[in-house]
Amino acid sequence: MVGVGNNTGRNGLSWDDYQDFMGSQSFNFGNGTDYGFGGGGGRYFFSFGGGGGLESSIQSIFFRDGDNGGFPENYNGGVNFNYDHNKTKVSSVYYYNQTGINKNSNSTRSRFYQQFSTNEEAINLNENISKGHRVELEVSKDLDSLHFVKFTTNGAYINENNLTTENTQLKREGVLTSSAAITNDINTTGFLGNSLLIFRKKFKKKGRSMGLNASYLYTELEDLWSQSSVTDFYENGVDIDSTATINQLNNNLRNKKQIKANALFVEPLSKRLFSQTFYNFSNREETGDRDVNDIISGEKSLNEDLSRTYVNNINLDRVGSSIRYSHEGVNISVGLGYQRFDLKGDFQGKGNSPVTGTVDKIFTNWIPNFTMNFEPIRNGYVDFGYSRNASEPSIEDLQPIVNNLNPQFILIGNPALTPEISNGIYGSFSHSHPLSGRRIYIDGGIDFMESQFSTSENVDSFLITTAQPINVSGGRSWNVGGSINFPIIKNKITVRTRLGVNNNLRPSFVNEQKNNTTSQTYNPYIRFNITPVENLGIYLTARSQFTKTTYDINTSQNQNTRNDTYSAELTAKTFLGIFLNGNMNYRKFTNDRFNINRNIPILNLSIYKQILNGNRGEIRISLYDAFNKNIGFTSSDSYRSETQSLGRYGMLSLTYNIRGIQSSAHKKSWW
Amino acid sequence: MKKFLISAIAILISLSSEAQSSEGKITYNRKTDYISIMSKLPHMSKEEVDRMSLTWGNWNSKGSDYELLYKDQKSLYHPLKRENDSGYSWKQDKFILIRDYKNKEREDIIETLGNLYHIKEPMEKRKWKILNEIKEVSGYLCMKAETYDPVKDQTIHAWFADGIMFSGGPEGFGGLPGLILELDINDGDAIITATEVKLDNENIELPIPKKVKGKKISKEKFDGIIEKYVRETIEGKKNPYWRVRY
Repeated sequence: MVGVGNNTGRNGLSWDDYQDFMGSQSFNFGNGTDYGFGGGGGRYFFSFGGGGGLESSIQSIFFRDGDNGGFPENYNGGVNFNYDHNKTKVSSVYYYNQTGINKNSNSTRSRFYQQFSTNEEAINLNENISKGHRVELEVSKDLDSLHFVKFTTNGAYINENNLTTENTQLKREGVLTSSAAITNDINTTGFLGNSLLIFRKKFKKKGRSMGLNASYLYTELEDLWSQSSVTDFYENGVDIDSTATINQLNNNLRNKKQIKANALFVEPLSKRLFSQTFYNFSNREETGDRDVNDIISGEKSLNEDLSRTYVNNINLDRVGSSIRYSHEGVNISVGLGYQRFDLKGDFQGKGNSPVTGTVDKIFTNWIPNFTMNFEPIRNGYVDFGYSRNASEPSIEDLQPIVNNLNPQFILIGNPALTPEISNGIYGSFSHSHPLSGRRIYIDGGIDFMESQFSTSENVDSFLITTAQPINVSGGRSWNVGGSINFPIIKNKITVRTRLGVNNNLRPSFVNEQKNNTTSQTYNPYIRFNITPVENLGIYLTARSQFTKTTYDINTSQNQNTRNDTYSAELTAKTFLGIFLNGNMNYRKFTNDRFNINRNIPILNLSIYKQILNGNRGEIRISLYDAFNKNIGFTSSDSYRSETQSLGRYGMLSLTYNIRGIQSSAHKKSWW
Repeated sequence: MKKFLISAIAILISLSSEAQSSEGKITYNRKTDYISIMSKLPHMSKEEVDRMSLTWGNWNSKGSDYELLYKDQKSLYHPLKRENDSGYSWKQDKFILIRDYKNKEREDIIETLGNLYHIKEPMEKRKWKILNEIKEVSGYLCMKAETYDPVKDQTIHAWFADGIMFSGGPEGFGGLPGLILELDINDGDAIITATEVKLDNENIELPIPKKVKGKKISKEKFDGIIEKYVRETIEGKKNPYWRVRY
């Protein structure tokens, strides 16, 4: 059983706690079901692309990352039961998760056009509470030495309330063009049910094996949201008595049913050659019923053009085969697959709206694949490969539905979208020398986009942007990196260092003009682990991110941003078993274009000691953010925001662990 | 009387030669219990050991297979090639132990810690203490013997079949009045058991490599390298046995 609550966003569950809770089912992640290229079906396809499925809104509630800033309030609890005996394993989990966050932030978003640039400044208040219940059951059994079967089923129920109020000002070259006050209040409830059956068979002939699985997923989400905004327009900074008002109450009901079936067959052709064939099938049907009601003088009136019903059906068939050579650590695999997306959709407005349309598209792609890995020298590994990926567009992007959640930035779908196709090559080399403790790692990759998803934006004279997803060609990205770890004095001073370089070229269209945005980022990193004696540990880290961004549409907006993080941590065991810990984390943000030079030093201190018989207890006094400087700060080439966050606080904690608590001045690492 | 004596001697000779086995091929399976090994490392807390047992305790490993070939009092022990079960292959480190019980010589070809080591020198004498227990291993009645390895600080129990007249065994151990069919290192931390025993009529040829590219080194120096690595790794609060044979 596990239970935790906090309003600090920090003192929650750790990986150790997760392992204690899940027990022998902790690391059951190897259940990828969409077979692909690679030994034993090793390379799986984890998603079909086309945007996060409906169920991800439900699943994401359980794995929400620490937000950048704000005041959180979280509660989690659960019960886990495992039965693990001989060849049968049963696991059942119930888990409840409640995350709440209150955010108060200021942000600036810059956009660059050929002749001018704009700044959108916003003050944003956000209150979000998400609650989710999750139940899982898993049963697996080795029927005999050749057959294995597994059945899992899970269900989740969520309820989320999200209230946002925003005041924005849009300026062109520093002159006010429009201002808006926006309120969005969304309540979402949803549930999910999912079942999966896996069967694996090994034949009497060595190396011949088969895998089959089938699954069924059903999710339903209902949003009730009220949307209101008042936008005022200005000319030369003076109010021109023109106002746009949106006051809507929307009810959106969406559901999704998905059936998947997959098969894999491996046949040994000789002692070193294997052939592998797989087939993936998926059919998903998504329906939606969106009611958009305008509120006029307190009366609800159906907006027939913005309201919609839709039914979409996406069918995927993917078949592929590969030949693999495996011998003495050399593994080479060459494969070819063929995939076919069949997208069908129907949408209509409501009432007397003339809005109607269908989407009926079939996309077919050949997907070649090549991988090779081998050990050229002792303890040295080389891995490289080529793959081609095709992701279909999401139905939301294909339907020309208007999304006006932000009245100054309107999104419209594009029925002419085609799948995003990329060709990628990657390679890596790693070598370790156990006697000296030295490790080296080098990797690199390049992706060429044949038809990348991007946006086409049109900005009118009031700087209201209408954006549409499009396909573009010519995009590419590459990355190269290397790291080396070695001891300066064995077990006393160790150094880890890494340098990575990424380059990303992304085309987009603005007012019919093609704009190539290129960003090149350097990420150097160095860390010193200093452990001169048993009772003292010092850890020093410095990392930087230098980004150079260029816009060929408006080179005066080219900029260099730099984000540095320096940290120093010291732990010492002193007299009477009292531990002292200090952790200083210093972040620095600079941007030459916008004159940003921001430093945020966060110092955390604590003093603690083990108590009771067998060291079963621990008493700890901590001070977080001693300088009271904590703030959620984001800075990139086009976006900067500051969010109020939890500042300085002190905490007294008491821990009891029946197995005893062991603390050390040194951090543990696996290698 | 003379005739009786001659026939009696002939019977005795034939009986003893039945107990003699000039060649054999034995397959062993080695299983290493890493949870037990790690729980003995000084830096692991009870909580960490319990957590490991809870998460990984029920994972059954197939172990790895080895082969001992012997002919005319000379033996060769090496790992069997791992089968490409899932169509993926890993490179196996070289590990060949050759023992010549007639000339009392040993030859080890071991790939470990980033180097290939070649040891060739006279066999050292191992002190065994024969104990009172017996059990059956792979169809043969075996007696228990115990020895201690000061280099690795390990207590080794060997089950040897005195019905098979060959002084060798797996992992380079030998010197007992019978073939070793099972080895138990430190009470279950590693167990090497014979799974298949084939004696005589096998036409065995020991695959002794003619040329060895490794670094020539004495056993003492090699033990020193291993002992230094194990000591430094444990000092660094890590498990040395991921890299070094237990």
